[in-house]
Amino acid sequence: MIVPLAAPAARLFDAGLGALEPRPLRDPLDVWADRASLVVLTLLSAVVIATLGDYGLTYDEEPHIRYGERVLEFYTGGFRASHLVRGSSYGAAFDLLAALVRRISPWDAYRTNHVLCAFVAELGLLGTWRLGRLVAGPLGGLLGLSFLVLTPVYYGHQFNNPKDIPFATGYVWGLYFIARLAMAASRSGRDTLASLGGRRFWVWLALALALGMCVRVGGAMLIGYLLLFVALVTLERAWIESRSAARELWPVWLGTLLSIAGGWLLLLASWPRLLLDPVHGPQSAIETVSKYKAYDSPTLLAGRSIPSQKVPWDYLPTYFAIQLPELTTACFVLGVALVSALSVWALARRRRQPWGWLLLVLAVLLPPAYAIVRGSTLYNGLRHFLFIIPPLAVLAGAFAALLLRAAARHGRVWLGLALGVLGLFGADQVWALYRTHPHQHAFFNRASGGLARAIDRYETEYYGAVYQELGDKLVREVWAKRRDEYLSRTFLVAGCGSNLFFKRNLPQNFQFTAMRNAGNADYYVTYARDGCLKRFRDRELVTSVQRDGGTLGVARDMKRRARAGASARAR
Amino acid sequence: MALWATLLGVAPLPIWFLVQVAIAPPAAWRGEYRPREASGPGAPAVAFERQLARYWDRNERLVPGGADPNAFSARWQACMRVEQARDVPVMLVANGAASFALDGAELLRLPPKNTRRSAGAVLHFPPGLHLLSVELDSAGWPSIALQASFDGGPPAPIGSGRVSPGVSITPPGPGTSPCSEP
Repeated sequence: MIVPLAAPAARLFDAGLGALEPRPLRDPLDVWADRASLVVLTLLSAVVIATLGDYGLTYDEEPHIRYGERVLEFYTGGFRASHLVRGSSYGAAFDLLAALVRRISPWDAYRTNHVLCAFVAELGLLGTWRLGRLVAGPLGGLLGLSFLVLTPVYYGHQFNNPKDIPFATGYVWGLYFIARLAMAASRSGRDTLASLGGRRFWVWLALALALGMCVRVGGAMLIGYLLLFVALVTLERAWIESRSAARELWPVWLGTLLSIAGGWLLLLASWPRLLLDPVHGPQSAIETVSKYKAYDSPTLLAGRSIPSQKVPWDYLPTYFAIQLPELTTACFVLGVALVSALSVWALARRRRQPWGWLLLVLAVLLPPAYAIVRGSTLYNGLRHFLFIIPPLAVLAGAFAALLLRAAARHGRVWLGLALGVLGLFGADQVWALYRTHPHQHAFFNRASGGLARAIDRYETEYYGAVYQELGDKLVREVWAKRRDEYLSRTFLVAGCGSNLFFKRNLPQNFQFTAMRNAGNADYYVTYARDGCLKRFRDRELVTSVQRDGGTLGVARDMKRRARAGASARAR
Repeated sequence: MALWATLLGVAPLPIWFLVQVAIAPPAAWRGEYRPREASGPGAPAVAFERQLARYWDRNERLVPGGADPNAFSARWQACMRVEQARDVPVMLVANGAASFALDGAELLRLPPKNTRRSAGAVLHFPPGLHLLSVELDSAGWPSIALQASFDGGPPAPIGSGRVSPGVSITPPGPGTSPCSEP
């Protein structure tokens, strides 16, 4: 009985392995997908420009604006490094570029930062599309791009996160070039370079590696992936073909090593700390980041407040499970299972590995696994791991593309059904992006109970972006109800978080005062972090920012007691 | 395909940004700055300020041209055209001695105190070209804003789109307004 059952299974595995192969672009679905990708990218461009001003500043921005100015002074002032420049564990490329753009910008530092951040994010979307297209054809590119854009927690960060989004962009481009190299070297041997488009490829690879490392030094893991995959491809060729076939890859090794050296030099040139001390600088930066203990504030997980240096192993998996759209997670998990099974099958059958797919699996799973095993300091939910969402979306999209192609082979009904499911998912997520705008970073999926259930139980609005909308609403309320006073006095405002949230989001007649003086303040204005929504609930609610039934921020009148029942409703 | 994707998906944002840079309104306020202790003769540092409303609006630190940022006095002037007679709520906020004058007549004044204070009134603007003048005498971290409500909403800084610095950077003679029709 084993043989008849095994044969169909073997055919299925062979067909599956075949489906992971790079594809010729002649399928009508692929032609349609390429056109649709251009439409999606164009629409995104327009939406980004139209909504850029809606996104408020975040607490990460001010230190990076200051850092960028100091770095610019370093390069233009005879390489004299301030303490901040000498000691920073962050690469300076984005902040330096932002400082340069500020010199010509007609807007303030934050809005200018948002323009650059959105631009870098668009480069990341482009990289995601290209990675998906490389691994799973045009349909994979379209679906990978769509899965990423329809992930609200990622979408929202694209406008005002000067660290995690540039890093995510560098990471996805690094993966794209590594995947191209591994896939080409696995099949082409001596002609690898020609199939990659010539020597310019190594320049692009070096740039992508530098881009991946120039914001967070952790991007050096791309070098690890690169060396690992070139080594594995070399071993595969020796094992499947011959040792001489493996030896044909020496130009690939040479180009790889030169690209790494080039990328490293670019990194040194753009990062003063490394430039001043090329030997110890990188090492100490990596040590600082990987053993980050400078920050230990409470973070939320399922209603429990936990020190960020002692988060349990399921902190990251939980946040990914509840903040990614359900279909994205399902496609990703099934994609990982499929690639793993087919990889084992290929190994057993002495067949070529699906290197592009395997790289995606590694690129998504390894960083959080490392953080979990190492017990890294974690807070702000999955923010520090936003960089794995583009490859995760690509893998999910690539798996969905496989399903769609399989459905197309079974007839129009199946194809229509599959397209219907994806269309419903897309429409639902676009609606979620619209509903939560511009606070998409605080999205929680339906399965978790949504944002309303996450407030006070998980990290929701931790970034301070809500203060822009909240400040505008408060000012309008005060102007409408206290007009005579408005013109002739200043109002004291207390609240949680950086005083920058108040100084930059309120006009000058609203003056920030520290929380210890909150009793003397006219208004208490706060976001959802650190249990701050629970304070002063006995004071009258002036206005609030709500999304999906959850309160992201409130403003309360400190001089007026809330009427009975009103405070309960405002929760 | 990659080229098209780049052109459609990435290029529009920097192009849009550069267009914004190119079409940004010209300098709106004419600023005169002098060190606070200087009481004798001497020309003040003069600059046309394109971004003044930004300091007034977003609490960015005021950087007076050439003067000590922690102790200086300043005077900003601009011309504003009003098409139809209207009443406009105007307010001045500052943490030093400050005043606001319309066509040479001082209408709002803040005493020299270290705390931030504000003064405001609903002012009548007859049709025509008006000279707005704001003065600040600051010690310590300066903070000042002139805000007005032209649309019924909360007062906002009077930005580059509404005013112009007049025809010349040279100070007007006594009794004459720098504002004149272009």
